Amino acid sequence: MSEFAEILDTPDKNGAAATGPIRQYVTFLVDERSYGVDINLVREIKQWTPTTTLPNQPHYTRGVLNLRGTIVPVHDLRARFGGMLTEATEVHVVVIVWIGSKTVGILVDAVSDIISVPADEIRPVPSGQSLGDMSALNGLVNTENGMVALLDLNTLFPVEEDSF
Amino acid sequence: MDDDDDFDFQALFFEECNELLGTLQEHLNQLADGTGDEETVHAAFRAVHSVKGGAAAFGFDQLISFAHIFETVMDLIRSDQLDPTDEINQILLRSGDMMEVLIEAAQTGTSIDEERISVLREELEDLAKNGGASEGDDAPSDEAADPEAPQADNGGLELFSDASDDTAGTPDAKHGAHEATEEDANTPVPTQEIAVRFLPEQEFFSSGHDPLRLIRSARSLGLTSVEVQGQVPTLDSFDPNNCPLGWELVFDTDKGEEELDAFFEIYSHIATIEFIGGEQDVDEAELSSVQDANGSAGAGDDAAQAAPSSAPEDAKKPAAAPSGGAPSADGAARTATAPPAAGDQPAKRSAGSTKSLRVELSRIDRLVNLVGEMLITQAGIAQKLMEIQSQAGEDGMEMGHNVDAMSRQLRELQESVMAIRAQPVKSVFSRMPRVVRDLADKLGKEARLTLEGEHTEVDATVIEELAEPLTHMLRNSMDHGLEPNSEAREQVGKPRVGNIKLAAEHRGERVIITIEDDGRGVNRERVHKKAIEQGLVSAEDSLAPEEVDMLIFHPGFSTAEQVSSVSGRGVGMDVVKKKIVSLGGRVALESNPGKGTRFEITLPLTLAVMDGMTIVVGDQKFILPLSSVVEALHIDENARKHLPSGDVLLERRGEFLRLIDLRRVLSTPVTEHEVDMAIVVDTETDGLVALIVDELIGQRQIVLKSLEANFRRVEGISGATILGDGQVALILDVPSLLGMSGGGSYSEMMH
Repeated sequence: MSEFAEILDTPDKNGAAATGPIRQYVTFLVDERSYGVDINLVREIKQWTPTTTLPNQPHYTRGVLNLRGTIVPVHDLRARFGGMLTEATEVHVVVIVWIGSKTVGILVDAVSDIISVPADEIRPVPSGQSLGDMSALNGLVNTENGMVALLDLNTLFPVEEDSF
Repeated sequence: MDDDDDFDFQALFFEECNELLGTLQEHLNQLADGTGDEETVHAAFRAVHSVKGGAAAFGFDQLISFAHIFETVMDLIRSDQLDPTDEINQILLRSGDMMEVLIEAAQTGTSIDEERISVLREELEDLAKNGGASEGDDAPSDEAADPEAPQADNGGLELFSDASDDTAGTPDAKHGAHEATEEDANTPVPTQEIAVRFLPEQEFFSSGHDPLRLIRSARSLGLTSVEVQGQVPTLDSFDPNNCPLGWELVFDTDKGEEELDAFFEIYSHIATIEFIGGEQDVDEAELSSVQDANGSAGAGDDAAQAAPSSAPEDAKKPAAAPSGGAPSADGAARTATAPPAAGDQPAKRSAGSTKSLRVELSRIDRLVNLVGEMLITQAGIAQKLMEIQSQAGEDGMEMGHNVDAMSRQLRELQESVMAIRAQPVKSVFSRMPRVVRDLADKLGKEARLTLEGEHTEVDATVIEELAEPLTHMLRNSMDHGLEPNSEAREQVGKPRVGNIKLAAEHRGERVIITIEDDGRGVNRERVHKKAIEQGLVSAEDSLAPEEVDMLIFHPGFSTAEQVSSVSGRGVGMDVVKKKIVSLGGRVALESNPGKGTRFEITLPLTLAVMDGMTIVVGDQKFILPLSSVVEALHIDENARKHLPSGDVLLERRGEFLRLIDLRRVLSTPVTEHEVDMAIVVDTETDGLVALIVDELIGQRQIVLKSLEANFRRVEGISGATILGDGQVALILDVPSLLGMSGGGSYSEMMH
């Protein structure tokens, strides 16, 4: 983690002047840990409402909800990363994102921020370590408020494109 | 195709192709049945021609060259140089099918069986030759008439392809020239001088035309001189969007006037074209040009729009027409007999008169969805109002009335919106004759498909889903229904050609589709025997004949001893039935041994809304399609019978039904209290079953929503809907639930 400490000294604000394209991420918290999703993929953020359970749904899926007339599945990020199912309450938040052509909801504890990160400050995820499910991460970014793990939604919640 | 615009145009082209193919096949069928008239041939010709024109713009070579020869033959027929015999009609029908194959291939980018094309092409080429040769005296003009259409295209082609590629037009132009020289060798044709005055109208430029291109491509027709007419206005009054100039083009050509006319035809809606001077009398020449434009009613949409623009002239002409010893005899003949049809056509198709308009389906879908939303919201309001009405007193009453009125209006709105999306079943029916023809070839049977009620309108969502089951059922009728061959039919005193009827009609809120053949009927003995062999029934069971018939819908049932390439591929009638049931429909079968079989499919008019029964299982609400619900009943503890296999049966009036605990199947949290409510549903495929539910709430109309759109197919669930409170409720797919309950309940017990 020491190399990340160094990057901490270059907060994202002044990074803009020196380095490549700026990317924006919506960050949110699960178990005090920060995750980020490309802001272009975020459709909206919604307060948790009870979902309708599907038969034989994946263990991390909370069912479906009604997003203004379309049926959207909701996945539990904590459960997806091997944790317990979130005991969702009204303070929990569902981040509605695009994955491919589909709209999907991700249940998280809270949304924290929008960060701007120069592309070259995104660090690769160390591989070959037993850090859990690392293939689902795109990269790591250090910010004033700590490290943010950028999510690779396609790997995390693969969607079947309409192929049948 | 990385160019988006181009891609859009292609999509549009293919969409149009599908419509054109429908028209083509419809008219070819009419021709073959002998029910067509003069206009039928023209319409078929136009369809081929339009496809060709479009294909040329995108460079689908295979399609172009096939359409070209096809069109040539059609042209011979429409100009009465080729008599459409039965044999020829068959070739035409198959060519129509081939067009479809080629278009599909162009669309998907796959390759095609070259051999099939070339065989068919040779047949067409033979026809083209014979047609030309049969009329000795007229040979030169025939030959001239023959390349007319292709030549017409060169103009269009040049225009289209120039836009993207300056050189693309030339090969075809050469091809045309080549053809011409060949004809020269056979029958030397004297050239003649023809002058044409070309006066572009205001929209000429804004429609994307370019006079320079026109003149360039006119060179291949023997253009000798061009003279500009008109004045360029002074700079302050000059409008670069208007074309102030006209041209006089002089051709020295061996081609007939009608050919030049065809060349200019694509401009006829956007420019005034006059044939002046030359060897022919001016009036006659002009007359023929107008007539030709109307008579052939245009090789495509361009010309269809053209017709109205020339209508004023047309009004003056009829008087002249009968006296017309017009130079292009067939042009005059055509107009003389076809004017009503030609007149109708543009009125229907022209974009100018907005009798109808083309709207993207997705826009209508959005409207349908929105109305669905409103229905849900309205239900929510009504529900809420019910709760507070008692306290709200007078005001509440009034509001209740208002909400009722709104509810009625919403229903009406919904019906109107659904009516927009309704389509005649024709779009799927018209594909079926091809299926039958293909099968007839493969099976060596003779069969004719008669269509009825093609104009019956059904929601687009249903239409999409119909093609597959209908194809299966026609396969079944062809393979199993009809006698093995024509001889066998003759022996039992039936006409050699088997008759299959496909019909559609409205009955209440549903559409009935029947498929009827005059074949052998269901071979009950064989079906019964096979069913016993496959363990579907036991030998001791005495089944009513109708029950035996219904066995063909049983999953896994197939009588085909030898797996033919047609049916018996493991895709049986059960699949058809499943599909129909999943659409909220039913299938009935009526078999008359020796006389034929009749299938009746009943379908809802739309898949956007359905009547559902709301039930509660565990802590969630679910919807059962009302069409499958038979009754709700109270489970008497004594009526429950446990089988050693773990299955539970329910005795209902002396019958035993499978009793399925939905809480277990749907893995909802099991409430402790014992429930005694069951709903008997008809699965269509597996007879009646009883489902244990916690509560029955009632029936209501629901708006169907897709789970697949954002998630994926879920076993046991056919879709979802949104309840008045905004919650999502899942719609149960009973037949597929049965499969789950078999495995599901078993594994539950193992735990």
